Amino acid sequence: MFAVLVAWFCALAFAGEELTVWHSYRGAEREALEAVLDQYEREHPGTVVAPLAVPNETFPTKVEAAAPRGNGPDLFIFAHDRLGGWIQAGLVAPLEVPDGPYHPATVEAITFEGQRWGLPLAYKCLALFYRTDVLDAPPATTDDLEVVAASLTAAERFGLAWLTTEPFFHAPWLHGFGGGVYDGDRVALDQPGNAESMAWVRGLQEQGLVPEEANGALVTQLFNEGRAAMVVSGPWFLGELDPSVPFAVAPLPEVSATGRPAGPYLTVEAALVSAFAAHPEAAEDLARYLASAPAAVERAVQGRQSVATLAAYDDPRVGRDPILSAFRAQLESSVPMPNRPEMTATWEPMARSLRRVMRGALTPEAAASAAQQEFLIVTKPPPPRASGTPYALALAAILLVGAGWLVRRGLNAASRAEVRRWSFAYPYVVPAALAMGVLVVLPFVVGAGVAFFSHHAGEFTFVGIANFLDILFARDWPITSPLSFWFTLGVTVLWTASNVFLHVSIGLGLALLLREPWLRMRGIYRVLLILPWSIPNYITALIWKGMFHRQFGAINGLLEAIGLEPVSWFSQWSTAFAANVATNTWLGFPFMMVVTLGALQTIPRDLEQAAEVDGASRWQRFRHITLPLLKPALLPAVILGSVWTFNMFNIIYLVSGGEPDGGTEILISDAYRWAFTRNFRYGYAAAYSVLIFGVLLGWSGLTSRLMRERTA
Amino acid sequence: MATLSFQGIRKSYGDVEVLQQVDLEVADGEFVVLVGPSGCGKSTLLRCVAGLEDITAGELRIDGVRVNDTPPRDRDVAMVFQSYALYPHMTVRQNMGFALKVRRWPQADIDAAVEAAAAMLGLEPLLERLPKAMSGGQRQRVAMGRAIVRRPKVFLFDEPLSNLDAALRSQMRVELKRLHKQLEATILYVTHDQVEALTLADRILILDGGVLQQVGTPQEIFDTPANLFVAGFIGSPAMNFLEGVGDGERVRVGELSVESAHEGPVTLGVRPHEVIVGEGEARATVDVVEHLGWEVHLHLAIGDQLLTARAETATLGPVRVGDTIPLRLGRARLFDAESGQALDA
Repeated sequence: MFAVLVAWFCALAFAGEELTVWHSYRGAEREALEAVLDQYEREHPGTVVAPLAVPNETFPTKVEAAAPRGNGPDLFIFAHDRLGGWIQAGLVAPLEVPDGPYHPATVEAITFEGQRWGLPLAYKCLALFYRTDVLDAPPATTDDLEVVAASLTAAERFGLAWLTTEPFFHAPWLHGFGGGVYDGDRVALDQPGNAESMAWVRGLQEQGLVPEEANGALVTQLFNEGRAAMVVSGPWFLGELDPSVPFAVAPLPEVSATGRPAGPYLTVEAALVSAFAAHPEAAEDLARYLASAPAAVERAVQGRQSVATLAAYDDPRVGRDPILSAFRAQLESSVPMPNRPEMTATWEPMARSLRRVMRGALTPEAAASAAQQEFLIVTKPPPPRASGTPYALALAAILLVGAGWLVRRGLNAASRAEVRRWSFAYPYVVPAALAMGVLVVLPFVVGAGVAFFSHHAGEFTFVGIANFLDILFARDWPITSPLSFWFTLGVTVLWTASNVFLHVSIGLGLALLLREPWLRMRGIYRVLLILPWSIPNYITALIWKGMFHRQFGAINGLLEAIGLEPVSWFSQWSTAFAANVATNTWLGFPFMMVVTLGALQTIPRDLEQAAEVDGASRWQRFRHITLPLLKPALLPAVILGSVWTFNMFNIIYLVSGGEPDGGTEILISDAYRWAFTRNFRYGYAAAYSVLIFGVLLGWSGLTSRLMRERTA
Repeated sequence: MATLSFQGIRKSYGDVEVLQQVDLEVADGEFVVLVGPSGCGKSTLLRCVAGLEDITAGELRIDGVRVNDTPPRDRDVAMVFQSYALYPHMTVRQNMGFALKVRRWPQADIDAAVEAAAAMLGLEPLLERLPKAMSGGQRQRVAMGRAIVRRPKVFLFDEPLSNLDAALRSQMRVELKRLHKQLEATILYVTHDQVEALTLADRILILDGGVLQQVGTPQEIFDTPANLFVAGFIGSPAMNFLEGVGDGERVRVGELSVESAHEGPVTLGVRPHEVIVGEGEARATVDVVEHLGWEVHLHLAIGDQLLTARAETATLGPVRVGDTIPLRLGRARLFDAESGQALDA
């Protein structure tokens, strides 16, 4: 007992100097970092370092939420491209960073508005991976690249592969052709070099040198199977390679048309001291330790990191490593990823313009200028600050009326007696009511409240109903634009109606079929038909997405096998919409089938036989007997299904992703885009959600009235 | 209306024979009752006529036309189900008009036919009601109304009265009889209730274990049952069976005897009203007395034989359990002791 107390006191005493470090490393990088942190602890007795690995995707929101409340880290390590937003939000403390020890490009990355904000630890950029079994030396120019790629291209084989429609992967050529995202401090997506770079990649695709609609898994597979001789990718690709593949890494070639080197984006992982750090001096000391040469060597050797500390390359284990050297060479021509907050709003327009060019919908020039237009639309200045007074008065009036109603009811003797009569029941309800309050009501109220604010760089400004007016009476785009609320609402209604129609008719048909007496092994069929339902829907969505692939998908394979032209599913609105509907129908019919099977059990066979003897044909029996009797069970299922489908985010996001040009986006996925890919317009997105809620509320009110009338 | 003809009808589910060789000619306008214990195949036979079950072998003809492979809707038969099978989402009017609607009759003709049928059954005040808002008896009427509204060739009734209480049942029996007269319909009627069979039928067909036992008028069936099964099944209280031995002049069972030329062992079938109490040489002990108002059923023990006797209350006089009373046998029917078949001697 005494020993435990002593140990507890000791722990308390040391906990005074506990440093929390957040990072998002995994595997070898994480082990190397933790080894360095252990070393630091040994060299600094009395200091305890507590590392925490936070998943990359959730890292920014976690830091943004935790740090200002004092629950955040002292030091955090993350890619620098979010730096601008964090600095504007006041999350990061500035640091003295000397020029000498770090590569200048990495120092530029952590510079924001003339000030330096963190210590560069490591960097990542794209480079050229090539298979040494088919290629002796990497091409030096894009002309060479085309010749080499053409010589290595054959049926089902590609000279080159990368994610051609991803802006991050297109950046090397963007810069190589003299273009870029920024022109000085101004976002200019319509620079001439941008269009030229897209035209060049489109040319590669037309020659069949690169696969179409490539995704990460496909590129990896092609390279590992020897069906792609060269790949443009980053250090993370090393972890995906089959150990038996002979490969080498080289800097990307020079663009022949301009004589400029290809310029991939550079992301720098920096150690950032939190502005809310409990121990800022200790945190800064630790940051400098992490960036020091011995620690950098450890991270490079153990963690296979491309480190920013130049002195580390004097160590032969780092300087002579062929892969680290290749990335080091690529670093010279790389372009630090802009760390300004509006950068996040450029990805979607750029990706869209790339996809438009690759599928031949627009010329490169037109696509580039459209991208600029779209960028300007989503980043237009927020609505002016509104006076809160009228809203506060309205809210107060509503609350007053509500309170008055409650008081009037409470004064009523009968209702008071009623309350007293059931007083013992209230404690039973409290836990559930509390949970509902915390999990449902509170987030709803907060979400609805956000809809009256505008968000910019971490600051919320009260704008009243301006967001709603903007959405409903948008003057920046025509009603036929995919950005229009009304257009998206139309798509959503069509999406819901066609899905529910297909779910019900297929589910009903199969349920009736499963009941046929001549059918054998119906137990097996029943299980098989419920299977699509039991698989997580995002997995199904990804499988279907793969099946709809233009070049490698099973569906086009089938079409070609029977002599039809392959379809580029996500290039036209109708086929993309059909692909979404097909996927969701696959997911949705089992539910309706199960409901129908259950409801069919409650219909006596006598009734159908009576109708049969009465002279009704098979269709008449279904139409006049079975269907009306199924209605009471089917109607709630249909309403439920329509609400689910209305908000079926996963399928839209994962299958068509809104393609083409956001046309197949539904309201909920569009709301997501407004919140997370269009300049973080949280208020606007919240207003979208409130409108979605309103639509669904109206719908369920209507349907429940319909149902009451039917049962009355 | 129509004739019905069964020629060697068989029905089996896999290896299980449900009906073995049914032959029957039903005349136009005849009321035939199929009767037998549960599982005897009577409902199956009815469903074969409706077309709800396939016929395994044999021929079924309606009005001389073979209908083995005709779907139910083209047979022009109407069926009243034991559960009534009223369409729960339709009003009485819609229920009754359904068969006409699916035949695409004009609405005016449907209304006329429905109202005529409703008038016949006294259903007019119920026409706009839903089945759930009616009593069992009313539903039963609607089910009948639905059958008669389209004047089919053959009516099929599957235990239509079995869900009604006793009073309603006897009332409906009378109505059915009247309806039959009015419609001059050919009716095939399944029941397990011998009273229904005896009161309604022009002819009764008795089935047991899928085998046809006897076909005849109610009186024939009652008076000259073809075998022990029929004898025991029809008549209430049930016929007494006594094991006797004949000597060429009389068949004797202990002290009791009836006149017969039969020699050797034989089963004697004696209806309870033919057990005459209060006279004769034999003596029996009264075991149980059942008073039914106008009549009394006495359960008697004579030696190790048990006998049921039926007597008129007025002529019997007071009888108590344990009393010893004289009795003799009246008319008896003889059955072969081995096969159970009636001996027509």
